[in-house]
This record gives sequence, C-alpha cells and structure tokens, in this order.
Amino acid sequence: MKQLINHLFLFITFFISATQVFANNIQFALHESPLIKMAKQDQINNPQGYDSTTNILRSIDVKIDGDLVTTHIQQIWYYPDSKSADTYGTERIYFNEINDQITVYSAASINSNHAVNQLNIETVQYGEDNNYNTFDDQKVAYLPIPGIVERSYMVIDYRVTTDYSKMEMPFYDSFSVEGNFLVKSFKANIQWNKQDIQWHNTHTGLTCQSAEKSLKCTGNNIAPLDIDSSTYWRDKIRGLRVAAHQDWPDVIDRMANAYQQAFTEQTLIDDLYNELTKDLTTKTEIIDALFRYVSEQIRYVSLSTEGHAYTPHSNDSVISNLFGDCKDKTALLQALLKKAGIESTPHLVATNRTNTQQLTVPSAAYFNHIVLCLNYIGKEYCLDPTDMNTHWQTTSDWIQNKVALALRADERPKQIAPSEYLWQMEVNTDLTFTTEGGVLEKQKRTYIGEFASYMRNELRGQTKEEQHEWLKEQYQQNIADIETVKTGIISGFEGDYSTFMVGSSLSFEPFLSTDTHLVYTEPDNWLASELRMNKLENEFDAYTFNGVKYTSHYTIDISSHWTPIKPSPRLSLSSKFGELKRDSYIKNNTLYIETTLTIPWQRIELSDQVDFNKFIEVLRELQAIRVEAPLHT
Amino acid sequence: MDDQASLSINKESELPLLSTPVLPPRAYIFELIIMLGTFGLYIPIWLVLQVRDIKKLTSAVVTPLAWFFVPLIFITQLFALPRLGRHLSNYEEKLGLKPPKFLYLLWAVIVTTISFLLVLAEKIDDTLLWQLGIIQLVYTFLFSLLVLRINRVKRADSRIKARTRRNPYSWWEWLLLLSGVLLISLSISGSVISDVIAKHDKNSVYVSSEDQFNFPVRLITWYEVETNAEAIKSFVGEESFLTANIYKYDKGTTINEVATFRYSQLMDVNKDYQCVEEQFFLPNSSSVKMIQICEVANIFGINTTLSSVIKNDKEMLEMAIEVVASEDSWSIHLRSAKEAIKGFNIQ
Repeated sequence: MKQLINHLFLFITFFISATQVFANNIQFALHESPLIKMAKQDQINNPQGYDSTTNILRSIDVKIDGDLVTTHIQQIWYYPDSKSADTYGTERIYFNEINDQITVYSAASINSNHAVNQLNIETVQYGEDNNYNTFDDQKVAYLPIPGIVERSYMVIDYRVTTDYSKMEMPFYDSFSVEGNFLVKSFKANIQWNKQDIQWHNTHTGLTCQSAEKSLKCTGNNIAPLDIDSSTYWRDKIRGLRVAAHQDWPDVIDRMANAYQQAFTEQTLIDDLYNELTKDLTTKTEIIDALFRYVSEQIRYVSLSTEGHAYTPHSNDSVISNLFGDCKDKTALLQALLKKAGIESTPHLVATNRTNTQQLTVPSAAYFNHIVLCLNYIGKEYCLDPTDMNTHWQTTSDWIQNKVALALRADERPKQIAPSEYLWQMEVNTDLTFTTEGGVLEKQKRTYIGEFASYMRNELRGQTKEEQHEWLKEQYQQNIADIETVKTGIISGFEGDYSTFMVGSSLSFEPFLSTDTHLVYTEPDNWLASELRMNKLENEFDAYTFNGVKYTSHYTIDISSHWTPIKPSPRLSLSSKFGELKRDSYIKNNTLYIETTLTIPWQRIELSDQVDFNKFIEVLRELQAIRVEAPLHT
Repeated sequence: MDDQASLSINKESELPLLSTPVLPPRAYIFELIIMLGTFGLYIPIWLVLQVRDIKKLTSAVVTPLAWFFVPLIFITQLFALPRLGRHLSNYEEKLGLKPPKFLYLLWAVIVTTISFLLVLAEKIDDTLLWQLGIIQLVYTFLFSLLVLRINRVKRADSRIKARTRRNPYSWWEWLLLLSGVLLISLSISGSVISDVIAKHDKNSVYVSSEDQFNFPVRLITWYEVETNAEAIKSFVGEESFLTANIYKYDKGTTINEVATFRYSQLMDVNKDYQCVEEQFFLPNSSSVKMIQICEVANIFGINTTLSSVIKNDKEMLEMAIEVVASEDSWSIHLRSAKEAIKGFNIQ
C-alpha cells in the first residue's frame, strides 16, 4: 500500500483538457471504414453476441521505410453489457509528440440495431501519460466513442506515422497478441525495404511466416492473459516484437554516446564542486553532499523535448537553470562524483519491468529512466538523483528489482538488486503503570532506509503544524485513537538521511483495576501495523514480497501495584518465510520485552501462498505483548 | 540363647531394685506387625521405651528421649548402636547370659548400612517411592530383630516378672497400629487408582486416535483415568504425584487466552509462582505450540504446573499437567511431565 501511494505520488498523471496542445499530432479523416461493414457482418453471423467483452479483430499493418514507419491499426470490439461499455467505451491512442503523426479513419460504435455512431472530434481529450522522473514523454488521446450500450460493437481504425530520424534510437515496436479479453482474430503484416529488421514472437498461438522483407503472423481465438494485479503486465504479456537489427553492445554504444553529450559543456563543474565539498573530508560525506545537492537543489523538470529524448542537456545548462530531468541530473551527479575521484556508471532502468526474459530483441525502447551506480567499499549503490528523500546508500524503492542496462561495454540487461528489507523500523517504548491504574507511554520510532524516505516524502514541505497533524493521525490509526497524543519529528530533514525519527507521548486515563493481579495485553502496535497486510490471493503469478524488518524494545514499569516475576512469553516463530523472535527479562523490578520481525524480500510462489498467509496469520495472533503480574504482597 | 545363660556367671544381685514397672517382653510378631504397620514410624517410640526400661533395669546413664532420633538419623547410629550394644551386654552378663556380641555387631553394621542406603536413595532423583518403600521395609524388619535380644534379656530378669504391667499391650499402641495401617492402605489405594482405564508403561507413546493427539510416556508409568467434565482425557502418573488433563478449545480461542488463564489461576492460588513461557512453530508446519511451566516451593515440597497448547488449522488442544511432590520424588515426575509436554503433538 505504501509503495502504491509512493508511486501514485511520483507517477501522478497530469490530465490536460482538450486544449489542442497535441492536436497537431492527430488528424481525423472519419468515414465509413470497411471495419464497420465487417462488424455488421459479425452481428449477423452471431445474433446472440458473445458472453464477454471480445476483441473480434486486431489487425496491424506496419510498413518500415527507412526512418519512416507507418503502423495501421484496425480493431473491432464487442461489449456484452453496459458495464463493459462504460469501462472500455473510451479508446486511447498513445503517441509521442515529437515524432508521431496519427490519422484516425474511424472510431465508431454499432449498436444491436445496426445503428452507427461516429466519434465527435470535439470530444477528444489529450493528456500526458505517467512520466514523473522518467524520460518517457508519451502523450495520450482519449476518444470517447458515442452510442456504446450493451451488445454494441466498437471499431477503431487509425494510422500512426513515426519519424525515427527525430528519435535517438532506431525503430522498435511491440505488438501484444493477448490482452484482458479473448482475441478472435489477430493479424500482423510487417514489411520493410531498407534496413535489417529482427523480430521475435513469444506467443505460441501466433503463427508467423517470414520472407526476405516481410513478415506475416496470424492467430485465432487467443485466450486472455492470466495475470494478477501485483504483476507488471510487461513482465508477462506475449506477442510480437519487431526492431531494427542491433545487438546489446550497439544499444549501449548508442545510448552512451547520447549520454556523453552532457559532458561537452561543463565549465561550471569545478566551482560548483569546490563549493559543495568545502570543509568535507571523507568520501562518504562528499558523496552525500553531492547527491543531496543534485537531488534537492536541481529541480526535476521533464525535458524530453526533440533531440533530448535520450540525450541529456549539458551539465552547464543544468547548473545554470537549476533544473533537469533524470538524465540531466544523472549526468551532473556523475560529473561531480568524477571530480571527487569516484567512478560511476549510468544505468538505463525500465521502471515498469522486472523480467529480463521479456527483452527478447535488443533495444533502448524498454527503458524509461536512468540512474547512477557506483562501487564504494566493496558494495554497489545505485543513486537516483530524482529522489530527494532517500539516502544515497539506499536504493530508491521504485527502481529496486527493476530491469536495468549499465551503459558499459559487455553489459546485458539485469535487475537492480532489491533491498533485503524495504520496510525497516525500530521502536522504543516506555510504559509506566500509574498508581491510579493508568499508563504513561513514551515512544521513539526510528524509520530506516526506504521507510525513512517514505516518511520524509510524506512530511516534506509541510508546516510544523501540518506535520504534527499528520503524525498524530498516523498514531491514531495505528496505536490508539486518542486526541491527547503528543507527537513530533525528532530528526529527519537535517543531517543523516538514512533514518527518520519520530517521538510521541501519551497518558492513558486509569483503566486497570489496581486491587487485582495484573493481566494486561496490548498489540505490539507498529508490528501489528506491518502485519496488517492483505492476504495473498494471487491466482496466476508468484508474488514479490518487499522485506520487513521491525524491532521493538519495551521497558515496562508496573511497580506501582504489581511485582514483575513472569517475563512475557518467549517467541521463536521461524519459518522459511521469515521469523518473529521475542525475548523478555526482568531486571531491577522492570520488565523488558524485545521483539524482532524479519521477513526478507522474496518471491512467494503460488504453491507457497497458503503457507505464507498462515504464517502471517499466526504472527498477527501472537504478536501482542502480555504483562501479567501478581499484586504486591 | 537361653541355654547359654546357664554357662554364664549370674550377677543379678548387682542390678537395682525396680521401683516402677517396665514393659514385659512381648511377642516378636506383635512388635514386627506394629513396626511394619506404621511403616517404621513406631521404631523410634519403641526404642525410647526400651532404653527407658534399660535405664530402670540397669541404672545405665542414658537419656531415653534422645534415642528417638537414632532410627531416623543415620549418623547417630554410628555411635548410638555400639553404646546400646554395650548396655545390653552389661545387662546380659549381670543376668548370666552370654552377650551375642558378634551377631549384634553384624546386625548393627547391616542396619547402619541400610540406613545409609535409605538416605542415599532419598537423595537420588530417579528413585521412586516404591523403591524407597522397599528399602524402608527391609530397614524396619532388620531393626525389629533387636526386639529378640531385648526380649531374651527381659525374660531372664526375674524382677520384670514381679513388676510387670497387667496388660502389656497399650491401647494407644493399638490405635497407632490401626492409624498406620489405615494411612498406608489409603496411600496405596490412592496410588493404585480406582478408576484406571488403561496403563501406559514408561518408554511408550500414548496415541489417541479418537482425539488425534499423542505424547511420550517416559520415566514412570502413566494411567489413563476417568476424566472430569471439562477434559477430554485424564491421566495420573504412578504414585499420583502427577495429574494430566487434555482439553479441547474452540477454534476462536487464542493461545494467549489459554496461557493467560492458566497463569491467572495460579496467581490466585499462590503469588510466588515463577513461570516461563515460550511459543514456537512445530517443525515443518504452521501449527504453533505454547509451553508454559510454572513452579512454586511450599512446605510440602514443590508444585509444578505445565501447560502445552497446540493450535493448527482445525483445532486447539491443551495438555495441562500438575506435579505435586516432595522435593525427593519431584524430579522424576517433573522430568516425565516435561517429556510429555515436549512431545505432546497433534496428529
């Protein structure tokens, strides 16, 4: 959930109303396309319709003429009910503002009475696809198809012309054969005349025949893709990938050359470096200062304009402007680190892919982000200078486990190592049971690594009052819904970014009988909160579990009325998934309880899902701390 | 022995006149029965009475009450029994009887040795009560042989015939005998459980196919007995120092609720119970096991309560054991209980 919130924040979609900003990219030549006739014929052939949403035809016709590639897409859809019509009744066409020209020939519905409703081009809207901190500058056109009701057909017929001379990489395209629904008929026809083309079909239901300069693929009744919501569809979806012929060293060469453009003008680097590292002595301090400067002081602005899709702006321009996108920031950080004698390597990252096996034809098109990795004292760190909240020795959560390509000779796509424990937290709690039967609670929470980053991200930019309010709400949701809780940041925005510390104090009104033996149970609340994860209910794919490490130390003084003679139960709940350990002891009439939960990053196979759920269920049941003691004699 | 008396020189005239009555010699079988019947508890009393008589009969310088501790404390026997031997020999010689010195020495050595063994057995953890009982019976029997020597000398003393009590058998001795026999009978009947369903020898495994649980029986014999209303199975260990019950809970009950309930019960009985508790997964399973062991020392010995709860997907069972025993016999029963708790499992 936290990851989702993070991503929602970072990849927030900025919709723009129909301002015609991108209207130059799209033309409409709407007419009675042959597709409409085909849809009507299908209506006659299948008067009962289909049980579920069906992609009756998916036809792709690609002509590659040097740098100019035209892709003609024709689709017929059937919507059996109003819900599917409501959900899918708006067609989306994705395009790149720099080099794509689109002509829409038909975007219409045919209802069960064979009435045709063409798109009203006045209703078309445009937006930006989610691209914060990436160099993927894709736009989207929304075509609300009128007249779609239950048992309607929808046709969409358009042609995209892409000028690859304006791109900084050669042709690549991917045509998915399978989708969310049954595809009755899939056809792909690819023709080329000049350069070498390589292709790869990953779907067994698709039959391809290639000739010297052409490729024809067909498939019928392609079943929907079985995929769980936790799986990146790009990691699994099968289909046809076509690209200008190149191998991985070619891709690396081309991207590295483009990247090097940033270093052609960097006269301002020396002064900047000297200013940033003044009075710093250790390399750790220097790396921290340089990373903090680029991530916090260089504002993120998406700048994938023409000529800069993959090529960064010069370091001098970034220093002057004090803004840049991911490639600009990465190049600037690399230049500064080089001044400190620290070698680093830029890595292209696909933030929406974790499966390297899906990169079946070499291309830079898979990647939408770039970060900088360096070796320091025997360990590799990948620094994302678009992330102003994370310590440089912690890998930003959205690039962990993602496919990356180091721009270095002989490299191949591989995954960036995930943290063993993404969510790390240490909680110190002092409980004092008062003479009246109340409890005084003082707590100090230390968020570590990515969790510190999450907290910083949530609280950055807020006023002190807003921060208190946010922390209070967080406490009330996780511990106790009590208005009088006092909470605040101990440290987090100054100094070391590897941790973020929060303190709280609260006095619980008397609620215990002081004339009977003490039998008191309370959840180890922050631990309970970590275990409040949803049950794994994947049907098709293994689940990737982000690691959790939680430590709590309770110091409990019950001496007002009771004698601590029984330590809290010792827990030793170990399984192949992780463990919950608890030790307890009594010293100087005070009860101490120390708990550690460790569930490392792991892939949980479908066959292990039930056992994992049981494991979490048991931990949830047994995590509560118990304090039991007799009354003073 | 009486024949030998004629061979000795009679110095009866050197003996004092009797002013108060003494106990006449009584049938050995009666003394033996009363000693065995009271499980040896009568021996100190008998010895005090006999030493008192010897003092009256020989003017020996002895403190009869101090002899109460001789049969009970091994170390006192090392010097008290030779001294008794000397007093008896002196008495016998004055009556013209030949003291059976070698036989007495042999008897004293054996009695002292058995007495030492008894002390040793009590200190050894693994010694069971029945084993102690056998040693005690042997010891009692051996001690009773002293009756024969004292009877012999008393029968030879003419003064005793003149100053004897009318009824040599006191009412309180009969009462003591009756109480002892009753106590032992009750104790035996308690350990030989009246409502035993099955006996489970040590080094076996108890398996309940009906309730799908099992546990190992180690070190002592366990008896399955009629259960009380709440338990699904009940057991007692031999000698009844160990009682065990198996309980079944609703699936909604948590392990922590059971553990808390058990400790709360104990706190109500005695605040000084010292407890340790642990919870862990059974090997290669998602079933959780809880073990809580609490103990407290009191004037009667040590009370230990053990509770083990196992919860799996389907059910939750508890094995609750109480070991109440004197310090001497506590260890073996506790170890048997711990083995059962440790091995308690749901099939």
